[in-house]
Amino acid sequence: MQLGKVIFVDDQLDQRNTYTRRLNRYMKDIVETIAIAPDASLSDMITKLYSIKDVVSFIIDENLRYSGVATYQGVELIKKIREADPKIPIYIMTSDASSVDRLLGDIEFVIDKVDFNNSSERDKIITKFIRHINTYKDIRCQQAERFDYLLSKSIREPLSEVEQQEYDALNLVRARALIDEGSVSDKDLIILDRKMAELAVLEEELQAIIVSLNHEG
Amino acid sequence: MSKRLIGQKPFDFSARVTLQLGRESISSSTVAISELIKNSYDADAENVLIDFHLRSAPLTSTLVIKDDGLGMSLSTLMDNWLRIGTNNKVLIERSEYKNRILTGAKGLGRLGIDRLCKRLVLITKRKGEQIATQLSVNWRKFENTQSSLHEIVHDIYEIDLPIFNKYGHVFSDIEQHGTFLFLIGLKDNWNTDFISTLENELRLLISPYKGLNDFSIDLITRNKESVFKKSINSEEILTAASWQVKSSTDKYGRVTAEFKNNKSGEVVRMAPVDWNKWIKNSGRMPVFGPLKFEFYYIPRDKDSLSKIKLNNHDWKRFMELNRGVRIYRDDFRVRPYGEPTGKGDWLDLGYRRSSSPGAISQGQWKIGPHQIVGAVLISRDSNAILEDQANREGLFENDAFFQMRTFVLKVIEIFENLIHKDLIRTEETDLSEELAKNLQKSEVEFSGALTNLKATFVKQTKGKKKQIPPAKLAFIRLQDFERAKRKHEEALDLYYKALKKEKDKLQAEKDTLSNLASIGILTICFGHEIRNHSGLALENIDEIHDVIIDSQKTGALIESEEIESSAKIIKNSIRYVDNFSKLAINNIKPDKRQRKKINVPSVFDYIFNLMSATLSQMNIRYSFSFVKIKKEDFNVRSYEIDWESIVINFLTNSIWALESKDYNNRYISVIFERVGGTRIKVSFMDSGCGLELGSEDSIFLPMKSSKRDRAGNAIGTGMGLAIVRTHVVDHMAGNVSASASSELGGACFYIEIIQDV
Repeated sequence: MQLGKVIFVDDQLDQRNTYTRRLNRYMKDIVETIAIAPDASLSDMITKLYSIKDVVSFIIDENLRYSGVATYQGVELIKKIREADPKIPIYIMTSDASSVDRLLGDIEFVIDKVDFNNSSERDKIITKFIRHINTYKDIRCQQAERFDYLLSKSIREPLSEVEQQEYDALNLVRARALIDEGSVSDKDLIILDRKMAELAVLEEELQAIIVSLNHEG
Repeated sequence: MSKRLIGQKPFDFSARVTLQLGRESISSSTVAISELIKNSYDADAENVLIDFHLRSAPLTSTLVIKDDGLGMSLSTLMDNWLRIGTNNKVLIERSEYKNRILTGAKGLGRLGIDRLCKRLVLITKRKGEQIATQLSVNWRKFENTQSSLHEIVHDIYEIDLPIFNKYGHVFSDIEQHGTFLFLIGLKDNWNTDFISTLENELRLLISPYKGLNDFSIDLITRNKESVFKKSINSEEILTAASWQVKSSTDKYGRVTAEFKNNKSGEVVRMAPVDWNKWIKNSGRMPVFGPLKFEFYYIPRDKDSLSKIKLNNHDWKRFMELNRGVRIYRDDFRVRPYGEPTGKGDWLDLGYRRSSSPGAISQGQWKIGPHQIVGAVLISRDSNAILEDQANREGLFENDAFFQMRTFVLKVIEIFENLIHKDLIRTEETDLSEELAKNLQKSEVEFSGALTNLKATFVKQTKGKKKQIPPAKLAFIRLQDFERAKRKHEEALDLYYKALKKEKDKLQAEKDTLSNLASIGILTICFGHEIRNHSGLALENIDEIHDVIIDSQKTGALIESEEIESSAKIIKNSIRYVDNFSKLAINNIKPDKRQRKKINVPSVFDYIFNLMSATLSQMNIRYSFSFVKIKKEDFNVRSYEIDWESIVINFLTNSIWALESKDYNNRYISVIFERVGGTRIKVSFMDSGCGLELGSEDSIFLPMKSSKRDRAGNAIGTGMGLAIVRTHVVDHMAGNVSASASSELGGACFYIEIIQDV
């Protein structure tokens, strides 16, 4: 079975390497943690995150502007992710928990990097992680089933107003994956076209060689 | 022993005593009327009319008080109005629709009607009701009676619309609402003087910023000869304000401000400043659009208040009702802004004041919420983005709202600085020296007076010594007096010396604390970075440990690359933490607190090297350059520890300012330069967000910080640059200044000192 992915965003390489390795150790066989460095623009970053499939959670460093690459802070990125998916678990990871609103509406909770090293604290955090992720997976399953049901019903008969609203909301969460698939196939088409053009050039060259060989012959 | 319950009886009030109670709780007839008007205010009335129908004798005169408040239902009238000392206002606190803070809380106001008139007719109606309710109270029933309060009953009627009487129309329309009080047979002689006293009382209830939906009071006086109508206003009270401040943003995003000292008449005008220069990191134009903000600073000043016939108590009452900064949209008040508590204090004036309770002369003075009466004037057309929330509980707290809040707070901050400067301009900064000067001056005057006195006595007693013994006596007394004076002088001298010694001791303590504070600032600034590194070290140590355990369990080979990369991170992190502790420990070594020849660029080198890990991780590039002076010649007689503090403070400020820039644009440049002769200068500049225009001087004041969060609140300790100033000005007799922007784009700080050759 495909493991879900936890995305860890931090703008410092040492932090990314260390915490990805540690998270993968603690949540082996449950999820796979992938480290992503922030892009300069928020929209590029969102596109990059959307292109990854099977994401079940995000862990995001609070201060993404530290090294001067990102033009946005962790909370701004979280806000964007949350707009697209109201259910996915998101966590802030920071070494200065006092600078973060612990009750921030968009996140599940704040993880203090140093507290995370304390084994009893860490066990509690990991337990919560796993519970949130499993709940999210359940929700996704139910959402998928419900979406399929509403989709097939909509083909047979018109949906009620409430059903239509539910269908639209589910479609929004789902659309993310659909759009990604769409864009990938578009890209494939472009590559295919380019390859075709290259082949055509080769063919022309070959034809020319054959013609010249025939002349010589 | 046996006992039997033979009855139960409550305490009862005699009607006469109750009346007495009312009379005693209301001090005068004007206060009695004021209490009735407060009831109208609490009933959400917008307009109150006080209509005196005066005849030649008071007893044939009538007073009509009419309001357009909510009116009372029969049950409210019976359960609340007729119940003395009702506590419904204590329980509710806010009015029904306008959410006003209730003013009359005791429930005794209506007893005061007895001192005003012989008979009361009250007619009240709620919106949408077909009928009105009338209550008639004949106060004579309370006189000369032994009855209990509950035995005296008052007639209540139901009246069909339309209602009119000899004082005009009361209610004619089903939509009308409000309460009419007809006070018939007045007990006081309401002559011009008395009515003027009433006006004086009533203006305390009216805000100087009166919106169309605010509370207004009109007064009509009718007698045989004339009808005189006027609106009560409190504008005159504003003349008691010490300062008046007006500011605005225009459609081009420029900010102007004008500060007027009402006492001296002096006006300080701020030339139009572009928004992005005024508040950093808030875009080119204010999102909220053009608006006006003005306020009055009204401290409790007995002299100013007495000029407009107010006392301290009146001031308190007026400020309780009208204080704060209100918001008006097209002349309509937007609530709850300007109410004393909760969201009404949207600028957190109370919090600002309580966290900095110092006096104006101390430099970090904050205006008190009870000293300000002000308004922000917006309009639907120009400030469309400042929308109401759907529940009408104020404006949407969007970026525009927070930016407007930042703008208002900044104007208030500038004002606070200005009046601080205005005050210290006229005072000596060093109070103990000033005290000594005053003492010496008074001594000179005292001695002069004594000499004159002595001369007079000597002159008068010449040749008459034996004849006038009282003069001799006076002379002896004078000698005693002189002895006492000498002793007094000695005591003063000792006192002055003790003060000076105490001052020196405090000065030394302050210097040490300033340097320690620099370490504190460094810790605040880099605390989370240090934790970042300790977190990294801890995790990587655990990782190495786990890799070894795994290998022991499974017999798998240990990947040396993994171990090496973890070890490298651990080493770097520990080195970072070590550098930091080295800086802290070395900084407070005693030899750094000896004044000697210090090579300043070496100190910059030292601190920048210690901070190199942070600088490289943040992609901050820096350069030191020398103009007309060699590095080894840039020496200043000073304390090494002072220079370390200076560099730390400059550097921490720059790092904060650079965080808003991308990594391609993060520079610090330090220029060491000979200005001329032995005058030398250090310029410290960065490419960060720069300083807010107009803050170049004030940032050197203690507790002043230009670092702001999203809501516009100042963050940061605000101690850094004040410490720099102390070190440069007090310890090196140098100068420190700042400019809002430099050739690198950010702030620049200059230190001018004398070279130690």
